[in-house]
Amino acid sequence: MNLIIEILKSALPASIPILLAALGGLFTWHANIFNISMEGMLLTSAFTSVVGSYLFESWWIGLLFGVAGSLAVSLLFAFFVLKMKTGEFITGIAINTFVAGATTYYLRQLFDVKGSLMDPRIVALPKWNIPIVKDIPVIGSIINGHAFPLYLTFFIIVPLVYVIIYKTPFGLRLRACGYDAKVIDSVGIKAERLKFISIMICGALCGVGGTFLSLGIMRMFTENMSNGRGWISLAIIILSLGNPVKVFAICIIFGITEGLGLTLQQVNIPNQITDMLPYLAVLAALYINSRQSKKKELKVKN
Amino acid sequence: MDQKTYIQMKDIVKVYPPDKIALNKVSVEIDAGEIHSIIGENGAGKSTLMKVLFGLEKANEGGIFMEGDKVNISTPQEAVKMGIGMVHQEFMLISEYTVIENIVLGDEPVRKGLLNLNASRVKLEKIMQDFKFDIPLDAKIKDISIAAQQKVEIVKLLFRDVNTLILDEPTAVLAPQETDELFVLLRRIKSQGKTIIFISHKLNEVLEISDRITVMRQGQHIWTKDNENLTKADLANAMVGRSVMMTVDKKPAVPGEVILKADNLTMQNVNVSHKKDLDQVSFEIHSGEILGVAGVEGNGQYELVQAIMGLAGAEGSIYIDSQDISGLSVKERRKLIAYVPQDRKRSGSSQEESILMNAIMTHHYVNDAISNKWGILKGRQCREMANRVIEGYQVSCQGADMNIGSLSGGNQQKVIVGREFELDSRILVVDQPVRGLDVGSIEYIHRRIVEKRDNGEAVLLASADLDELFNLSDRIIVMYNGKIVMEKNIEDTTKEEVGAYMLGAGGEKGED
Repeated sequence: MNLIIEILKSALPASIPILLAALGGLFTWHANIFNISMEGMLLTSAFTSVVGSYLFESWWIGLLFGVAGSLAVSLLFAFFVLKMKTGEFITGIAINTFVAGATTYYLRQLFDVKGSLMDPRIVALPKWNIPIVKDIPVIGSIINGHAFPLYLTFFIIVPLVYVIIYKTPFGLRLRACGYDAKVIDSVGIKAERLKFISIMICGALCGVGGTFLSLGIMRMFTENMSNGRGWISLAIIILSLGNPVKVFAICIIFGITEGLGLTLQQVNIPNQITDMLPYLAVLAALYINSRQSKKKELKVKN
Repeated sequence: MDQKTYIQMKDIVKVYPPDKIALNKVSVEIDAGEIHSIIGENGAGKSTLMKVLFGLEKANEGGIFMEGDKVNISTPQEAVKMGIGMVHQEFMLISEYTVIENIVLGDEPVRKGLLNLNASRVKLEKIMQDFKFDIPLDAKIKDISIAAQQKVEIVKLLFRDVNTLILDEPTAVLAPQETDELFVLLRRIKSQGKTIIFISHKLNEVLEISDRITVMRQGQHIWTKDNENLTKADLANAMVGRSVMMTVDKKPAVPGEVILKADNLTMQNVNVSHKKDLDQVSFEIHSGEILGVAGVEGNGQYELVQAIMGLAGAEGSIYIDSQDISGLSVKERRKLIAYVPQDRKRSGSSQEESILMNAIMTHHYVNDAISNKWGILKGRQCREMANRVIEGYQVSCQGADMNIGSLSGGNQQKVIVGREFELDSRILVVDQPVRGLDVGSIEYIHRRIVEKRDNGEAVLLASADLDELFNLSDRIIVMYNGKIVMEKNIEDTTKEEVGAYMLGAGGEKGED
């Protein structure tokens, strides 16, 4: 029983970085940008937030640095893709590769460490105690006591993303831009501008996600810390057809299996194997999901 | 300038760099509350002129005046604010969105930051009532017909309180009875005090709908006249600048032996199990004869052509010279049949390739003169072949190495027609050969088709244009619901009769 609580408790924060990356990527997906740079954005903000937190011994400056770092990457992406008209995929790969190298390089240059940086100067994001909930047995111990962006993400950002995409003029235009940019231009709205905004939103959300990775779940930075979460977030978006609710559900599955993996490591299963678990689970979820939608399609046809 | 002039375009000059003069001091006056047609061949400048008026193109010289005041229109949004709206040939609609979402897009009603579609519903329902539209506001665009989509575009403009509607070749995508319906609608819009600018090169329609007509040719304004006592010949001559044969001069057919024979062709519809795209279709075409296939789009003409070419599977048999070709591949059939497909951009040509490449396609494996026995192309012979097509079929271009995609539709079609007509085959299948082409090109291609017939080929002509069918065909079949519901010699029938059969009326052979 304790084990299950343990797994679920670590599952919630584990799902946050990938969820925020996927929610950010939703915006660019709906604007029809093939954006894979969430990986680079997550990694950058994981690093810059630690730098900010370290330099000023403050979590909120850490968060600020995290978001700023990620926004810098999204500006770079937007500059190349929208202004210079380079290929989205190529640009994304270039950015991700560049970020992987740059964060490692500066980690070694600035802090003179290899692998990971842990330091008492790094201040983690504050954890929230939720009154009433924390006293409920089992549920309280699962839900209570996480870094605060977790609650903001679950209870504010997820519904907000849904509302913005499906219930506001901006969302209507954004999705229209994704279906056919010419149409949106024809009614006097610049598709380019919508695309730019979507990339910036993606950057901001990935910035929070990356910060949560280094200052929310842990209190350290490790080389290549994002570890493919940005990539898998794109897979989740594409195969859930940009539906925020499905994205949310799959990200929770990811979190649970990651929590499970961490727990299994304690019983002598090699961590390379347990590290695979969340990704396998996501693939399985996507497979089942797309099979079901295919079945539905068939039913509609007949 | 007289009192009722509403929009005046004065001495408009538009030069595309480096030196292509698209509009040369064009002046047009549009009166309030009229239907004013602007006609001209492809490249005459009518679309460019409208783009200037709608703020899509900036004129190098000249000015636009509305009710006497000079106005500056540099974006479509400014045009809409001035009350000028345009329905493009290519619809600007999101097919996944509903009708109402498409209409409000860019101009959305908002309550507390959220979309509030219901706020527009009242206004829209009033527009729909005033103009008698019947489109379901909550249906998705992809689920409604092309004609209904066009109406959505018009409602979009009315929703934005536009006074002047520019319609760019609106009938190009419509079946005959849908065109009639559109015209009723346009007259109703006019009767409510709106002004309509109608761009077209279909002369019948222009004569039917217009109050006044402006003719353009090669970037110049030729004349503007009231639509009184004008004939098709007047318009055609002004458009082309020389007299044009409106009907093809053709000798009576001398049909020979049967060349192509279809026997009980039946094709199942892929989506609906009880529906048949082709239902026991049988016919024969003799040498030296043009068989016209009439029908409202979607009644099996397209599928019939696909079945003959082997592009879609069908039950039943197809014979050429009494040989059953049903088992032959598309490639094998292409050796026997010259084929001009309906969609010149997707199946007729490779838009990214040069004229040269497009001109030798198919020839490359049937014509020994341009390739050797190992299938390696002979460069010089290929070029000669391409030049023969360019010269022989009057393709206006700057050499065989130009991309075919950069040519006008008419010239692209001439390359395709040229390629196919150069094939040494005895059967010609042409599907909508002149759709979207200008008068000059139509005349030319029609003459070539008749020439082919006179050379003893068997021709199958599928067309949605009754004028074309009556001009060319020797015999006509009408398709309805995948069946042949009428077959007659052309001199024994009338357009009215064929039209009635196309709509499924008057057909005792057709069901439901």
